[in-house]
Parts: sequence; C-alpha cells; structure tokens
Amino acid sequence: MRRLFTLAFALVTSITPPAHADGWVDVDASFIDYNNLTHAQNAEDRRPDRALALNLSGGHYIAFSGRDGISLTLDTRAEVYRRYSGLDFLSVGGTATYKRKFGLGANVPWILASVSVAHDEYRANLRDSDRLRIGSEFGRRFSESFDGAIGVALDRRYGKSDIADLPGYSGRVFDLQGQSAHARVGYAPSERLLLTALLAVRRGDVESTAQQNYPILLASDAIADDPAFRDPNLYAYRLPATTYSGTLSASWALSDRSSINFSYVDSRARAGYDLAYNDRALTLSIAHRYP
Amino acid sequence: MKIDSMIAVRSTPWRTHPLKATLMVATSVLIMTTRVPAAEITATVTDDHGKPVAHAVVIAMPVDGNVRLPTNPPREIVDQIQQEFTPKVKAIVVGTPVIFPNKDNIRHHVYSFSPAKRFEVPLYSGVPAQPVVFDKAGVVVLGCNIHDWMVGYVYVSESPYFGKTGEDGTVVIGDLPPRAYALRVWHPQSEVAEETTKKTVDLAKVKQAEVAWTLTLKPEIKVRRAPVAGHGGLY
Ligand SMILES: [Cu+2]
Repeated sequence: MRRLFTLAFALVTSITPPAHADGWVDVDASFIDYNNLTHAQNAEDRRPDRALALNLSGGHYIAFSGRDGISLTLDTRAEVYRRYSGLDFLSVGGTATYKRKFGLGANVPWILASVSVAHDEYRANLRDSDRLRIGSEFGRRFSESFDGAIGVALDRRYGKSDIADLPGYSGRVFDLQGQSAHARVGYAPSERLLLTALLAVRRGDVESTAQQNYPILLASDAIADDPAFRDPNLYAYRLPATTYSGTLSASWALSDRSSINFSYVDSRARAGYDLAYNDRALTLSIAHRYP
Repeated sequence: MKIDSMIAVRSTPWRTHPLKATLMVATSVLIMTTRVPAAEITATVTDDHGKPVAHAVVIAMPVDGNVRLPTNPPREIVDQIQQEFTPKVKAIVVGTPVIFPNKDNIRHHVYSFSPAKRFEVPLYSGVPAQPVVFDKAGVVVLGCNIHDWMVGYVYVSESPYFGKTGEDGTVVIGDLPPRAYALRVWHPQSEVAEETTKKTVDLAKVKQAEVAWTLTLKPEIKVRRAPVAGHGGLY
C-alpha cells in the first residue's frame, strides 16, 4: 500500500504543470460520516463510521477546437477510517473525458463521454479491485446561475478476491457491474454559492454485509467472509438490486481557486425477497486547484 | 482619463513631409490660439452605499449632435491574463480596431454575439494577426468558448468624448469644445438603462463641470470558476 501511495504521488506530481499551462492539480480533503458502511438492512448489522479522505488529481486539457477537447486526469484517492481500518484504501486511476459544445457561448448544449479506470487497494484484501466506468452526459447552461445535465453510465468492478465459503456460491462478492442514469441541476444564488441536486437510479450488483439470513442467501449469488468489520458473524453478499440515490450539495467559493463543500447523499437499494437497505453519507470538504 | 481621440488623429500627419508638417503646425497653433480654451468634466460614480464605482463609462455627447469622429482611431488592446479579460471594461470610440493578445500559455477562443459586433477569434495563442474593428456603437459582451467564466465588455461610444472611472470612481473628460453636452453613464452591473442616466451640462458657460451619479448595482453573477469537491478537473 505504501508503494502504491508513493507511485500515485509520483504520477500526480510528475504532471504538475508549469504556471498557466493548460493543466491543473486538484486537491481536496474531506471528512465523511457514513451511517451504514455494511449496506445492511437490519439495525444489528449496520456499522457506521467516519473517515478522512484525500483526493489528488492532476489534469490536462487538450482543445481540438474552440468547441471540443479532451481532459485527461490522473486521480488518486485515499480514505482512512476511524474504527474499521480494514476499509482504508488507496485508489489510483485515470479518466479521459471528451466534451463537445454545440455552438458558441456559455449557454449552448454540450455532450461528454468519459472513460475512467482505477485500481483500489484496501487494507483488508477482500475489496481490492480494478474499476472501469464508461459514462456520457448531456447538458446545458440556462443562465449564469442555472445549469442542468442528464447522463448514463456503465460501471464494472473486477474484484480480486475469490475465496468461496459456501458450496454453489462464488466468492467474488466485489465483482460487480451495473448501469445507471442520472439527472443533475445546479443553481448559483450568488457569485460564491453553488447548490447542486442529483438524482440517480442504478441497476446492477450491490454488496451487502450482514449476518447469515435466509432471504439474503436466496437473493445472493456470491458470499465471502468479510473481515473488515472485525465481526466473525458478518458475511459479504453480492446481490442484484436497484439503487435510488439523491445528492444535495452546497459549495462555497473561498476564491477562484478554492471552495468549501458540503454534501448529503441518500441511497436506497431494493432487491428481491424484500431485501432493502438505506444509507447516507455526509461529507465536508475543502477543495483547492493549482495553479 | 481618456484623451480626446481627435487630438491623437491631428498629431498623426506631423510625421509627413517637413514643409507640409510646418504648415500644419502653423495652422494648429493658429487654431489653438484663436479657439476658445477647451473645457473639462469631472464625473464621479458611487453605488448605493457611497462606495466609488470603477469601470463605469461616462459618455459626453454634444447636444447639437455635431461630432467629428476620428477617421483612423488608434488600435486598442484587451489582454487575456490568467483566464480573465484585462481590462474587464474597455471604452473605445466607434471605428476603433481592438486586438486581443493572449498572455496565457493556454489557448483562448474569444467571441461575441452582441448586436453591436458579432465576431469570433478562433482558438489561438499569442497575438492574433488581425484586430477586430468595432464599427457600430453599443455594448459588446466578450466571452471565451473554452473558459465560460471569462466575461469582458467593450463599450463602443458614438461620441469621441468619453472616459472610464478608476478605482476612485472618478473620471476626467478633458479637451472638450465649449458646447452643451448630454452626459450618460454605463456600467455592466447597473440596474438602470444607460438612457435613463442623462444629465446636461453647458460648457459654453462654464469651463469646468462636476457631475455625479449614484448607481444601483446588481450582484455580479458569473459562471463559476472555483473548483467543486469531487468534480476533479472537468472543464
Ligand atoms: Cu479562454
């Protein structure tokens, strides 16, 4: 993990652009409060915790014309948990985003397509994985203070761990895939404040950690021992579900380069056999862009 | 302070033939000694809280409508520095060519679709080869198609007598022929239309006049430039 961190740091700093070049480095530090890290249905299985996260991302923009171009970013993220250190992780990845504006001006429609890849390394190996996300968004700005977008995405997580505990069940609980659609609106009531609301629906595999019970056994197709919560009764399950999530966020610009941000994410997953779980995350972060 | 463009034009032919130049100097001296001394206007713009308003353009239009526009106004500059138009507001007389040098190490794509001037300087770095000639009076809003937060203004005046307030909210418009003028003020965030700010001064009677406006300014809402957490580096 330390080697991965050194590599990530070297990668990001190596693309640190000279002043005023069309490149940038984004750093954001967050404090996150999770209420249900196990994604569990039953109260006794739910595990809340708090985490500190650090994002470091270096990007470069290549304009093909005044209307389209591609952003390439190298992204690293580290998260450290207060109680469940098995969930500590470091993620290193990259994103390529092509964006095209249909015309001239701030208020014309645009479309983007993006591909992200990442490798996640956890302190407890069960969650180690490679991730791929392909997404597209269509949006437009309606005024200086109003904008909106709709989008779709395919996500694929290639879980590394495959230790089967139960005959007939796979051990790849973090080998997941899904498709999602979302809509987002942004409103800036003042020069400094930006409010954003996002609604998303995702269909696909989810992971839920819980004590063994009959419905989850019926709904799941993969099961593994989950050591991250230091509870021998907890197992990780993979099951198909539909997840509805809503995000509300507020971003206060401290300058043209930095902001303080607050977000609230509420997710509700619904699966077969009356299985369901709700979780929410509150995040407070400071973001800064160089140069 | 904005120097009377007509004087700048008058000075150009001095670089021509020595005999012609001498003749012109003699004529100018004659004009200067015979004409009535020029007058000036000191204009002050403050906001509702009494704070000085910078970047306000004050225009003095002779009431008789009789203006002689410069035939070949000198080229003006609007730079792009650290992904902003500098200056944010540029006041020019109609017919002025403006060049948009890009002082950043990245490319910009400057445009406007204001009725007074539609133009596009496609994706470029350095100094564009051709200036843009602003041949119609009015307000031209500038944008960059790469950086949506970039906003600038070119105020194209139909009168050669104008100026832009400094940080102290004051501008002195000098070298005005002694006549009656209708004065107006324009600011990008002004709540009221420029036409409603009209004031008249008669410089045939006084050599110096002081004019003051109080403008109610709308908050400046620009497309946001500051980063948002978790939106790592998307334009
Ligand atoms: Cu630009």
